Amino acid sequence: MWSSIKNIDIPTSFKQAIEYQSKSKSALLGGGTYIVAEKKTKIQNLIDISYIVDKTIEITEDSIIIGAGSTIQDMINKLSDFPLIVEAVKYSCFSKNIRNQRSLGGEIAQKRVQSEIFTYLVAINPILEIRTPDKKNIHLREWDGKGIINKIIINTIDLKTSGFERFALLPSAPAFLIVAVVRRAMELDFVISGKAKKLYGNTIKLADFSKNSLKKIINESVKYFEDDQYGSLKYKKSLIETGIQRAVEKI
Amino acid sequence: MLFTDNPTIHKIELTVNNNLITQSIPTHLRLLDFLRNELNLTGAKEVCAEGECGACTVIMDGKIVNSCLVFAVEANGSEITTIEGIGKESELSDLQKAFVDHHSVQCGYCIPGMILAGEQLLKDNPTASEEEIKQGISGNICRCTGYTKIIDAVSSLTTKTQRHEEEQK
Repeated sequence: MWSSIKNIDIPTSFKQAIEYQSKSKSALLGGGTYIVAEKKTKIQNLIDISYIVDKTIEITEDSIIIGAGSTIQDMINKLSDFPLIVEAVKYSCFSKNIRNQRSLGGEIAQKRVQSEIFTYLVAINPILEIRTPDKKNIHLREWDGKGIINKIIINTIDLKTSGFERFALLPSAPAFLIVAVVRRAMELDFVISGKAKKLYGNTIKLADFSKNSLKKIINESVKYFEDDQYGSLKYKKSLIETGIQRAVEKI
Repeated sequence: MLFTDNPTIHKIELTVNNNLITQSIPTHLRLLDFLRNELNLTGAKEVCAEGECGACTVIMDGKIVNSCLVFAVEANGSEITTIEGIGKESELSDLQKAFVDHHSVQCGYCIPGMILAGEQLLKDNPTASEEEIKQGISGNICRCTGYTKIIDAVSSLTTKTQRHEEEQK
């Protein structure tokens, strides 16, 4: 029972959804696995966008276009030719029940640093089709969180030239350290997250990549972590190094 | 009926265990509350109330979901199967029989969810491997059995289907 909720609006267009969003104490409802689980008492109006947001998954010659309303289980079912993305999705939520409900758009909007798929997507930096209600395409890293995500467009080349590693106490447990690396034509993108204060990102030109630049990434990123039950900072430093090495090997 | 101050009332129409249900409900009512309190279908349990445990699992339009994370209004137009819709009082389903035969039940609290996850898995993938069975019940937590006997029960049916398919070849 979530007793602060008084109303659910079901918009028939993005324009209407954005109008509803301007009402105070409103929140978007997609898959609902975060918002319903959290039951924030400040929220009184939910805007059910599941009827307007794209739910298709299309694979073209050079891209994967995922409707933001697609569940992350849909991604597992339909993207078997892209094992890394399937792996990232599976690890980001080990419960099939939740995967059947959780939408990719919601997972991105949550910006949860302990999510493998979010970390991996930040690394590959797909294009988001955002409705405000006008349509605009913007890279994930540049999205300010405003508007409604309708589609996620992933360049398949980035999937082939990327790798990610995770460290968790059990395969089914949330990772406390996640490393994602993408090699582009001229540079390497690194994203490091997990049970961290925030997500760490860095780009290094391929020509400048050296042991020293790697050391810099490790030293900078470990500052986002803490000594905790998962291990000391020294241990996490060694895991970041191992993670980067393993991820780079996959590229 | 549990109302907050002036919630909007929605009329919903859905099929639960092959019965068409039309009812007016307040916005904030979760599917779990609707099933338990309005329809008296108490097989789905509330344990964690945040989607972690799977004790409230139901099948919604051919997919297992946590009914504690679904608003009843979201289920409008859907087809829901609860544990009460599996087997009959006089005759258990094959999976329910397998759970009995393999001693898969201890305290029993997770079992409605486990059975529903297993039933849907068997429907989607009748020859599922052990790994696929583990994936199929990955959203359902059992704190008693250690899962081995539950996996054995589901596995006994998938193995049977595998054997049958091999014999047909």
